[in-house]
Amino acid sequence: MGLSRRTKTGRDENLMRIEVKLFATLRKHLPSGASGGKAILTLDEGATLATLLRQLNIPVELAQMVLINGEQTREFDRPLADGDAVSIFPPVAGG
Amino acid sequence: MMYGWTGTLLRVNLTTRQISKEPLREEWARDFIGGRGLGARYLFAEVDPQIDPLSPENKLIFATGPLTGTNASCGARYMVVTKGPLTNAITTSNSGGHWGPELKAAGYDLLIVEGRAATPCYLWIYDDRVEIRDAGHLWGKTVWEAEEHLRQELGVPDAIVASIGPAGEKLVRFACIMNDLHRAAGRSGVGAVMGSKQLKAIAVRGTGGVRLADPHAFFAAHWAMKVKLRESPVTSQGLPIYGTEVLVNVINEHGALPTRNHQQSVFERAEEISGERLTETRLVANKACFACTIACGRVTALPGEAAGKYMVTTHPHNWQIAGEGPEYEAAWALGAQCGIGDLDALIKANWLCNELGMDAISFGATVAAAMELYEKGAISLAQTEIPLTFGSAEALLVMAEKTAYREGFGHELAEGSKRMTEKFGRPELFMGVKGQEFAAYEARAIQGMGLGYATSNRGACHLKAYTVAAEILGLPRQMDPRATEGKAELTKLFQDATATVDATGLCQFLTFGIGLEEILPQLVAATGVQYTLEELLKIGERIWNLERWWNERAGLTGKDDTLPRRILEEPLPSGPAKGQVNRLGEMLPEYYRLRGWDAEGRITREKLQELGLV
Repeated sequence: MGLSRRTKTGRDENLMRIEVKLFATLRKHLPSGASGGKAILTLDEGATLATLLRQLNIPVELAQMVLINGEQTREFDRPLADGDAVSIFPPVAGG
Repeated sequence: MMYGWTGTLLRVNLTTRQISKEPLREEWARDFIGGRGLGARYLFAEVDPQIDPLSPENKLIFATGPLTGTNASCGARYMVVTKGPLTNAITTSNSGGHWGPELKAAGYDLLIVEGRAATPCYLWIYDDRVEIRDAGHLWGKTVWEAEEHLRQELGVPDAIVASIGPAGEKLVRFACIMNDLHRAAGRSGVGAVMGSKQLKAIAVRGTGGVRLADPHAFFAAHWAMKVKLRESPVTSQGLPIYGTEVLVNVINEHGALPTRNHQQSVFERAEEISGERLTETRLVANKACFACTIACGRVTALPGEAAGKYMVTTHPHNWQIAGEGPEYEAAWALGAQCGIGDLDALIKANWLCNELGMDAISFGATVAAAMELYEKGAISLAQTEIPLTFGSAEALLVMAEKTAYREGFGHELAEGSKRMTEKFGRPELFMGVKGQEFAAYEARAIQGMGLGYATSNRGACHLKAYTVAAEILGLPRQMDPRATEGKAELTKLFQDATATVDATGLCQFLTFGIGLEEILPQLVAATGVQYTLEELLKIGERIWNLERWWNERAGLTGKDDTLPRRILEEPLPSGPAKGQVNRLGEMLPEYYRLRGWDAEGRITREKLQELGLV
């Protein structure tokens, strides 16, 4: 996982810090030790949303709603940027 | 003989104490199906739209659908149709639980209550035996007390009770009719109409069933639907595991959770009142309505120290036991809208609303409007007796009791936020449409919801066109919530399709997993009427236009299809939707065109003819 890799390599200039928030049934995919449904992950520069989902072991079909900095997106090949906040929800509804 | 429908309407006049059973108008049943549609058709035929909703001339129509009480999944619903005292418009308030199926099992599709009793009374319906009984000893009791008392008094533990609490008795304009302790025909003040008739409760025991036209086809069709519900992650996992409350984080992350009377749209304490938190810390069990395979209901409990917080004066006995809820809309209204992030306070306030018989949405939203009045200096501590500051859980709980009993400042809150803000000179702080407060979706962040709120026949309501499904949840497909393109068409489609679902007696939550295509074969097999998909949508459109037409005759016009200035002109100050307003003007003309109405939103003769309404 990215968390341990950052401390090992120390190549901070080539790494991005991404805030990940997972909700409902996806919360179990957070790295251990995360609380409040969120964690800071460290990814290589150029990593995409798909990379992030793979790293979290979340199947794409369960990522029903994805927000990057509050904006909905379905572009899974979109590169992430350092400091991005990513929120991922499974299929849910209510009302 | 009719199938699906019982074919019998029960009519009770409380003024004359006359009780009669009539054959159901078959052609109306065919054209409007049941529930919301058939109820609206009878209201249209029998109630002058100009009347005072709290006068004896108003009628209270309880309407089931042909699938209510069958084993179609979620066939639990009944609709209360009447003129709403909050809105002065038609209202159609829906409830689940077991009361609708019980009325059907007793042999009735519809119950129409007319007139006004001279003294408090209740109805006791045991199959074909129907009595009007004295309720002097029940008047003043809470919903929970009255239900328990009635079952004991009747000696029928299986009797299902729909009743009003003190709020309905005191004509609080957003009082509910409650059944099964925690299920509510919630909005627009149907409980106040019941209170105005001095009708405390309707206890029902039915031992019959529903005749099906083609039982084999019906079982095949409802089984196929159950399989689909099991395959949908929303109806098989999301709703059962987290309940509707799961939406708190979803909507907040989209910057669409109205906060502090719509002054913001992101609540910084959303996680603390979320479905995830409720599930982890306060959930005891799920609860399902009759024949439901989803079970979104939440049984909640407060552990020791949490139960002791915010003790309220008249119902201390309640705080040591389990109750139900809050659901998403209630958690929002009592929570984010009032700036309150204490989940335990919301649980208590929600229980109080259920026990006292008040709509938690309008109550919470009205407290929020009062909090803004207070913080802007339009009302003072001398009037409110307790500081009505945003975030005060104590104020929320104190006001829940005061409102239901119309004590102190609660008397002002009991009028709803439109009348209250007008009285104190700040009408622009009313956040709603046609007198009814918004639900838990910010129309500046979700454009289609603005159009849905503005054009809803019963005032601001999320249940008449839940475009959030497409705009946020991606069901059935994702649409951009910030765009106005395509929203007029989406809104009309959702309004019509929802009216049809509401007419069948099924629960709207089915539609997160299935569509009208799956409902159709069940309806055909149950009733024997060879409906088509096209006809079902046409029926929805017919219901929508009939409601609108009744409202026109009550005095509503296209000018009422609007949103508060804050929503139309003040850009959202922060969050993902920062800078947005609702662009209703880009959607409304197209919506009127698609509806076949004129440019002022008047229904045309041609449209009425096309729908067979003239």
